[in-house]
Amino acid sequence: MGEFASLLAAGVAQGAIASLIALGIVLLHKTTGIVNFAQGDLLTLGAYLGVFLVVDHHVPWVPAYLLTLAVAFVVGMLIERVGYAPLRRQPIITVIISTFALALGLRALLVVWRGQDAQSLPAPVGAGVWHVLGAAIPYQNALIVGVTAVVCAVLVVVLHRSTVGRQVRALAADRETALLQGIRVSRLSALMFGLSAALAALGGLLVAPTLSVSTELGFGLLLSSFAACVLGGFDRIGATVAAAFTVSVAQQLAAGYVSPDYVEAYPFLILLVALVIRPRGLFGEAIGVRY
Amino acid sequence: MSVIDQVRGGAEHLRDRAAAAPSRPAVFGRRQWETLIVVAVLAALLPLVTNGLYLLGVATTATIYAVLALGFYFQFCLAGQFSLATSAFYATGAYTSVWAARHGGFLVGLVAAAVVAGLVGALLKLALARSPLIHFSIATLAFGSLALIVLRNWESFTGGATGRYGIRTELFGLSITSPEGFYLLGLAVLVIGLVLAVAFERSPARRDVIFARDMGDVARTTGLRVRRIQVAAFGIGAAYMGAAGSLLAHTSGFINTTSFSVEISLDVLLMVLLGGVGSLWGPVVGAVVLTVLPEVLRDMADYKDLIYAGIILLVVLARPGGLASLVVLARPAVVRGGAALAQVRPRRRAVGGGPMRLDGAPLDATPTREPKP
Repeated sequence: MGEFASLLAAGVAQGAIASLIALGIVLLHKTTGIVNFAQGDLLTLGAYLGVFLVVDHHVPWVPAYLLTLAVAFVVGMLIERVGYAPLRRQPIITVIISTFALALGLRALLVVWRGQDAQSLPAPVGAGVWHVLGAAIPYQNALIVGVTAVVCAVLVVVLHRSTVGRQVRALAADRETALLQGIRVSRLSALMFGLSAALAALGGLLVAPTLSVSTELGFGLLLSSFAACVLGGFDRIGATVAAAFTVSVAQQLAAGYVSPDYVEAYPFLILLVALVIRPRGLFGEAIGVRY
Repeated sequence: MSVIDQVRGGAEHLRDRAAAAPSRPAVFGRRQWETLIVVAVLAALLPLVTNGLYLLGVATTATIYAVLALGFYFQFCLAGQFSLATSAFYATGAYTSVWAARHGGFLVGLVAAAVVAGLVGALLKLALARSPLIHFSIATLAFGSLALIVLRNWESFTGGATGRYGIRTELFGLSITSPEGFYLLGLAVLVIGLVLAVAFERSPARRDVIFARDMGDVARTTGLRVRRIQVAAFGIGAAYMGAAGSLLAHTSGFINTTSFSVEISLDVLLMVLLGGVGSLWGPVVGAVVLTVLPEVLRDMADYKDLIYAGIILLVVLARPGGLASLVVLARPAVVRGGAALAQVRPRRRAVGGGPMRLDGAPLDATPTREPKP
């Protein structure tokens, strides 16, 4: 029971991080139709900014975290200006390649700035653990799940109850019509890039204390979030979050009970099997081209 | 004189434009066989010019990457599939070749590598045939990572983390050990690959593949078996990558799991983008440039990825179809500029914004090749 509970707890914490990244990807995909492969490196950027501010400059963690999110937001908007706005009329594959290039550039900049050595960020809530049902749950994991729940709730409320949220949903439904209604579409695209970058950076700040911070941090996490996005059908927030938790919990349980050698491989396996059975993801609608 | 020239020039210009739509494919105007022979002979003379161990090593690596990039050309440029599983096919080929070569020498290893990697690629594409573009890219990324993890853990086949040592290269009973030998071996495989690719390019198969890529549904209504064509093209690409893996194993004599990382997939993408997606020489040129460039810029190794990223962005932003589109499409680009804007806009509007573009946009890296009404 203790082992099961601790595996479950680890899976839920990991699922929370994955859903933060996946939320950013899904929001961006809904509104712009593209996938930002730089998302993982934005997460790494968030983690490094946290280390830079908290460890190197002893900034208290609330302003440090807020500053990190703000910087990530600006970087996300820059990515929109450089990698998406000039290519909006190009095929989707061109935009994907440009986000790949931006991801590579961002990672290279991080290497130049911080070097290759792994660094660590102390947990803002201390290193203590709770004992629940025989499982030791670090405070940080509880914080991760809590923050993710709050962020998801706020996002859903903002999307459905505010003017900006309505505009975002209009943009997601039909870009041209939204434009005709007077919605500032390009400004909104930049906003969504910034928002998804900030979500990724938040994921980085939260996950950094539980792992060591290296330039490869984001890429590995990005892959399991992709699994969640694809399974969730790329367009639904609820389904994506559910898929993120399912994949992460399944990964932890399989690592605990089947074989720990393949711990990184399970999300990929789940993703591939799911795509073979359902080519558009488990929750994806079977839409074709509309004429 | 000048007036006549102008008139003649104008007439030729008009004839070019008029003939542009139904003319024979540009492939036949490129003198590919002649180019291939010249390039092969010149490259084979390299060991006479230099016998430096270092230079020959770099040249051997360039041939391996050229074969790899040629495989990516089949998958990306011809089949229109954006795959990130390059490193997986590369690794599969390398380990298969080491295993098979123990029973029958290098040639058996090479063929086994190409066949096994090709089958794996074809099966992957077949299994994911109904997935849209982005889903497929992500699935190949997952497959690439999965394959590397499996190979790392399958110790009886790959030797695990220690890898395989002392791989001997025997061809027709001869043991190849010198750097010149390795270089010529790599070059020979590259030339064979290029011969097959040129033969493919000049056959009707190329037309079918491009038809299936650009207008899948239309191609299906004309009786083309779109899925089969795409599976075959993807498998051929994977087979090239497997052959490249075999070359790596047999020219370096040592492989382990660190020889194959996901970064290789990105490097190959960069080679093809830089060299150009419009002809099979693009990947070869790109591979040679990107193998030599890091050696020249050794002092700036820290900034290598930054420079690469800048190059990709420049290529994508300045000429979204890749450098090759500069050459291939320079002629009608000006004429088409206005027309394309007029044509593309209503099309996009009809297709709709947002996620629908996933299916609505052509799966093509060269958007200027829109079908003309």
